[in-house]
Amino acid sequence: MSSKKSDNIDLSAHRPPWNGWLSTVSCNAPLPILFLLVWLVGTWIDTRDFQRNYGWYKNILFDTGFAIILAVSLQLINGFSGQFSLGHIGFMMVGAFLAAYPVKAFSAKLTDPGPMLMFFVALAITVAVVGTVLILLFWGIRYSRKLHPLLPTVLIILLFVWLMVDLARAATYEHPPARFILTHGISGVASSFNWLVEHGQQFGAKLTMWSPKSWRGPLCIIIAMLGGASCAGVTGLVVGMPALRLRGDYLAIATLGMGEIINRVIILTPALGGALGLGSIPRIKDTALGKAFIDTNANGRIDTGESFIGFSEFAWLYMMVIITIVVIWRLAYSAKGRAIMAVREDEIAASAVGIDTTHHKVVAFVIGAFFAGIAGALYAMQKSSIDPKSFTMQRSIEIVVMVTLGGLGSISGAVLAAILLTILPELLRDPPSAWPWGFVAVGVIFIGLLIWDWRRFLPGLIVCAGLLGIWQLLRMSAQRYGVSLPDLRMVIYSLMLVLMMLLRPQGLLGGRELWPKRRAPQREAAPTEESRQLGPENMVEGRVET
Amino acid sequence: MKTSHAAAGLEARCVSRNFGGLRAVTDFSLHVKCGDLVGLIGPNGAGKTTAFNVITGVYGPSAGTVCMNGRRIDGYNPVQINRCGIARTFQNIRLFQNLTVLDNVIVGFNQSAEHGLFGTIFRTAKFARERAASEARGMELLRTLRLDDKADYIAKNLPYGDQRRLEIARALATNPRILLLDEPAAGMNPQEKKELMDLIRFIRGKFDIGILVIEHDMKLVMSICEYLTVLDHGETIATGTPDEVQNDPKVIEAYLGEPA
Amino acid sequence: MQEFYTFLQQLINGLSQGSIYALIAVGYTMVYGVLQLINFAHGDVFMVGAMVAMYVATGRVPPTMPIWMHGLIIGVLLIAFAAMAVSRRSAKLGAMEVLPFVGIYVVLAPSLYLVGKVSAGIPGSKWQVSYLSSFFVLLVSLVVCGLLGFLIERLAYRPLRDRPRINSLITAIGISLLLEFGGQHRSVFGPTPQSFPAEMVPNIKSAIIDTPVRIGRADALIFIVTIILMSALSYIVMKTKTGLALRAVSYRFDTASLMGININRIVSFTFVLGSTLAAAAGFLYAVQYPTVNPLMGLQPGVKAFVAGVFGGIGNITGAVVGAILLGLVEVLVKGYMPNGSQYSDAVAFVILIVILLVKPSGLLGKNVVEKV
Repeated sequence: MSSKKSDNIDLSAHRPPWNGWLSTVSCNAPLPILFLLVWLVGTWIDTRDFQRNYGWYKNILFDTGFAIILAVSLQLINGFSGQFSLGHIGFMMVGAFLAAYPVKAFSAKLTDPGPMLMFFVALAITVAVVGTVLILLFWGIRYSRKLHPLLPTVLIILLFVWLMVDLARAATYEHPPARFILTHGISGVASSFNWLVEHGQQFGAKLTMWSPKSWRGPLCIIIAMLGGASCAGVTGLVVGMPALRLRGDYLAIATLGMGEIINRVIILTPALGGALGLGSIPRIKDTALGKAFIDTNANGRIDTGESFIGFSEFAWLYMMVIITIVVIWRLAYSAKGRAIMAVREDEIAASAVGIDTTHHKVVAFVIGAFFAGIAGALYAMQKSSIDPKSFTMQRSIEIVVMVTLGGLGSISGAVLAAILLTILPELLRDPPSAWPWGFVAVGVIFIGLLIWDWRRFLPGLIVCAGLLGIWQLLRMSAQRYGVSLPDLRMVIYSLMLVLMMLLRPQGLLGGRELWPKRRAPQREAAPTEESRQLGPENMVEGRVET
Repeated sequence: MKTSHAAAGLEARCVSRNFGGLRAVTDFSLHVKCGDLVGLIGPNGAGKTTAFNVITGVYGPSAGTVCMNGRRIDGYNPVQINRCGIARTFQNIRLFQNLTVLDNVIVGFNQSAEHGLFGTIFRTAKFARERAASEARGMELLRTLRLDDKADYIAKNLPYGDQRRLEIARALATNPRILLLDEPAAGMNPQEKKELMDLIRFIRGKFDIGILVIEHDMKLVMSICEYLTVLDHGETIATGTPDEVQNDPKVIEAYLGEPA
Repeated sequence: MQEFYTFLQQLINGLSQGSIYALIAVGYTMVYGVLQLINFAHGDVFMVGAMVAMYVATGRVPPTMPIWMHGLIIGVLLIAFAAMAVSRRSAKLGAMEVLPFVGIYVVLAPSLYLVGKVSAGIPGSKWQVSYLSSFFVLLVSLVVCGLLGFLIERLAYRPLRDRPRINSLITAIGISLLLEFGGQHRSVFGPTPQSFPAEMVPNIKSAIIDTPVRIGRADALIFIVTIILMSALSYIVMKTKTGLALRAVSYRFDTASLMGININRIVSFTFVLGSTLAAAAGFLYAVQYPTVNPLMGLQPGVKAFVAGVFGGIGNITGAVVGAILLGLVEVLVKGYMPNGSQYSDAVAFVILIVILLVKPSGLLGKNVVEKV
């Protein structure tokens, strides 16, 4: 089957009135400015002044950053691709542990990027080999269907039972005899992986030598991030492929289950710390470039530290936040994104229009998982110790709530909801008064909207005002009757979820975006001569007369 | 927009399809060349939908072959069939409900897009050009089908007749050689049906494609199709021009139940 | 030979574990058969059953139930009622509509208090070791959970019936979280597990048969209660008119209403049935493993759902078969695999994924609420 490329519509034949590169530049130019901004803020945050006065804001900022990345990446899967995934935290976990392990094992002070890179190379090779074997196995089982329709089911059950029995019986021996093929196979894979890693170390050390000294820290971080995220992406592939056959609610439970399985698998891997997790993970702030140098020492004078201008944890995190939002936005509002949404709307119609549904559904999973992995890697390197028990099903559900609260199919909605829902528990801890500033803000926004487009936003504004009123009431009654709202915060949280589903199921933004999806498209103003002549009423007996 | 096709078109030869013991379609043959207007009719349960599904790749034939331009396509899945130049519409309209009218059409151009993931993420010049071109061409297509003033409407908000036209526009966006229309007149009043007939003729002329129509409505089919195949209980009972088929006793018996 | 007896013992343990799963799974499967909805809150109804049983059995009252909490609950209910009134502008708002809201207040706020107080006054019920008191505790638990199930459906699921499925799913998750976190609040239960007085069932720790395999009284109780309830369910579903209507609705939702079946009533009935069984499961679970905590419904709930899918969701027999098989597999994995106890929980998920890939309709097919 040859592709139709040769007689496809030549899309570049239609020259837009402006040069394409202008669009590229205008799209990408704001980015370095944003990065600069983020870096500046990050530098400020690391100063002692900030620590002293606003230090307790720091946690909220970081939590919000992670929440935004997770929510936006899940929006791609749940919102744009319409696959209800409840196991997103599993991807974050994979990213976290598979970034933490090489960093901890090979590069204690974040100074050796080479061995880390070789670890990932070794991992890639092992996964490729094992993956190929498994794929061949699956194809074999699938083709056995031709011999007899029930054969695949029987084969799978037999394989399963063989695996269980093999593992169970081999466990009773210190050194299992050779007849336990499957157990030996599994340990063989593990030992060859170890061998690969060990032998990669020397080459890795050489690589480290080649890289400039001051770059090694950031290189380590980047390799850890990308490596962890790629592992998460591969996990997304593994999760996404079976997910193709499932719909709606089955998919939800299946992804929930896969998240739990990932959790158990990591607990069962001793190298990844078992049930206790990994601790003492080198932190970003410990790298040579991890700290900003602008600092005030105890006397309040400026103290130039030993390191040059650095890149703080905050900067790393929020740079990735920006990159996540930008990438997923661009993906969603493009031809590929349209195809993904088309698959969500109607799979059968999409395939009738030539869109490969498998490819697009899996791509959504892989990219969503990839960015969750980035969040995980950064999480590991910021919190410095990760524990399987903190990656719970509940966290997965919290992210799903964020995505749904913001509105399925809206990136700005996901960002908004992520910020809101991360701040909310903190607000409830010590509820600030909505009066007067809250109401003032609402009033100002209302006046601003009067100028702009109040009709669209008025209902939302009224709801906001109403919510502020309720907030005040709650706060006052809480103070009066000695209730601690923080205790109730999760109850309020879940109540909010239910009420929102009942009252405004389309979420805060209803699937729309705060930012226009593109400049108003330049539609060709006048119809061409051809199309004007060839309306149906000009047809003569089925053939055009020209 | 006219291109010359020397192609042999879509050809089904002796296609049969069984479901267990049920013979849904037996020995079905059909040939649609570019520029043809062919109809497939028959009473309910005659096997039209099954034959249609075999051609469009929903399932493969139990026997027989389906060829496009001389190349076998039986057993292909719907995506591959579309890439071979066959497009279809659906009996109960399957639009992308929550996308705009323009977006519904533009997805058809995805196959021709050459910027890949890289272009999408970095918004290269090629991406920008192809996006502008898709929109321009999409608007042109909408203009041809008189939907251009509704380009930004959400598809599910369109009136029924417009939805049908949009589906046809979407099918045309994939640049097919053969267009298959599955009961395009379902749920239309006589005025709408007349407009549809004009539209079908217009499309055939303007785009120079072959059109296969499955219909119940005899009047519609008789007035636009140049060649008909009649099915009954899975078997082909008559083929020929509308005049020939109209007077064929077997056809009359199948539809009216008694010899004329 | 000893190995065989160990294996047999595992089988019995698996059977008793599976029976508890079966009671919960049936509720899941019935609701799914009728509404195509995964009722995430079902596991928490199971938890409430155990909790209520504990409160009644110990004759205790919840630690504190201050006035403001009453006020909060009333306030929230008023808001919800207003929302419902707004969304159904044309419908009449009579006693039928107000009653559920009043009902939920009755359930949540004073009912635990009341029941505790009442049961303390009834002779033979407060922590007295007798079958009668155990039965009373079980009964109260059944009633309360039945009511709870009814209210959840009425308030959270019915308004969303016409909306896309994902909204109901998320609401179900919300209700589940609400029950869990509400339970964790110190004025309701508190986050620490409390122990259940399993001793109120006479001789619960002793065994009926001790050698070669041990069948404890707890196991026997589980088997007996499960069999009784399953038989009752089977009778209801197969031999009564309501049961027939239930089966009809699970076949074809829209057509059933055309046949004169009151869909709302049948759906409520389904929820009440399912929740009642879940309450029994909660009671039995508390007797078998005598600690109760607000998060205890998570694991058994999800596993029971997996069992339902395994056996064929929508099919009651399938749910029972799937649950028992799941219980058996779990116990066997725990017993025989290296590090088995660490991942016996994950086994359920592995089974889920395999069955969804290989035969998504489950072992016994789907969409028919068939014979028990």
